[in-house]
Amino acid sequence: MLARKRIVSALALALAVGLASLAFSTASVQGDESGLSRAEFDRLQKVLSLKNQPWAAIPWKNTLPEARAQAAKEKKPIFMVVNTGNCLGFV
Amino acid sequence: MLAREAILNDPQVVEMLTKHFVCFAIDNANNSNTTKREREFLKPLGGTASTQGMSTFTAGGQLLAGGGGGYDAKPNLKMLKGALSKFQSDEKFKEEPAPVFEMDADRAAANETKRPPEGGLVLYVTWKILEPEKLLNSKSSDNDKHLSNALGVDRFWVRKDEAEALAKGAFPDSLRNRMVSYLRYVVPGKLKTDGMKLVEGRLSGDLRSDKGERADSLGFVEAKNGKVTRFDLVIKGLGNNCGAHGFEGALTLLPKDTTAPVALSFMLADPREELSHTLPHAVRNPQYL
Repeated sequence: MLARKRIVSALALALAVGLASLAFSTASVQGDESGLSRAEFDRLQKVLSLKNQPWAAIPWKNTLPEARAQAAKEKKPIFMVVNTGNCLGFV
Repeated sequence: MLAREAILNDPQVVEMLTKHFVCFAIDNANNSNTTKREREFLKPLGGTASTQGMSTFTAGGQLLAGGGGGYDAKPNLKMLKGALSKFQSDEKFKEEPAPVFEMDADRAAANETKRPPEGGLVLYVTWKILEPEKLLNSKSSDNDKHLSNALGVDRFWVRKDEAEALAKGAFPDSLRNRMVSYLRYVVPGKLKTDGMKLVEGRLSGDLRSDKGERADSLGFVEAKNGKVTRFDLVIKGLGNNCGAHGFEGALTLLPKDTTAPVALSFMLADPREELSHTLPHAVRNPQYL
């Protein structure tokens, strides 16, 4: 009877350890694969959004012919930014 | 980047430009978005400014005000107000004959300027120091404050074959290899592992430097009817001053051998947006695609 109890206890312990290991292993794998949590992803995406930049709300034209055409049509002056590297891009 | 942050993010400048001007920007060092004839037209209008400049002129090519630029919004706002007043007070500027658009023909015929690949995608690439205030102290200048908070911005072109692979649920090696150059902003030192993979629409990866620093990532790719409808990837890691000749933006503020938390993102751009048409910096490299 005592031996049977010991066997059952040992099996229960082994099962518990096994389940714990499995859970840890799964958590590790999820951590490695995801890296960033969904909440952190959502937060950072807002911080990194181009649309949140005031300068990005200005209706820019990308070429001189487009800018000239619109300026002539709307009777507006043209504003030009010249940069080493496009000011709307990588600079 | 500094001019963008210091001048073009100023609320009064934004309002003035949005209401009263037609705005555009050129890269005078590489000339990727201007033709030879356009550069000739712009010469007397501030188009040859070295490093940086801002000016205003009419559609017909009459200079209204030049000498703008620098890193202070106030003098530029004054320049804009002066130019607008001049333009509005003299009917000759408004009654100019409509410009002749032989320039458009140049673009079509000579194919002088670069365009996104047919059937491909444009991604916005942005990066930012996450705790910029920690880089500043009592000796920091206004420029340092502007720069520390600035969002780095670029565009990234995805080829047609790469876009098609993404739509089928694959993450092609060519795309991964081409995106790697941006990872230096979030992985200091040499990138040792690049385990980025796409599984069931989810992008994730094991990104580590040779020094052991790790960047965490998460992304999503979605497609409908064979077309990519979503590409969002965010990577958070440690950035350093990686010596990209100032093009690394805010990271230039970091003292040598120091790092700071930085986040980097790739987001699918809507091709109908004007901002998506700005050329990628790397397009100056003939081998870009």
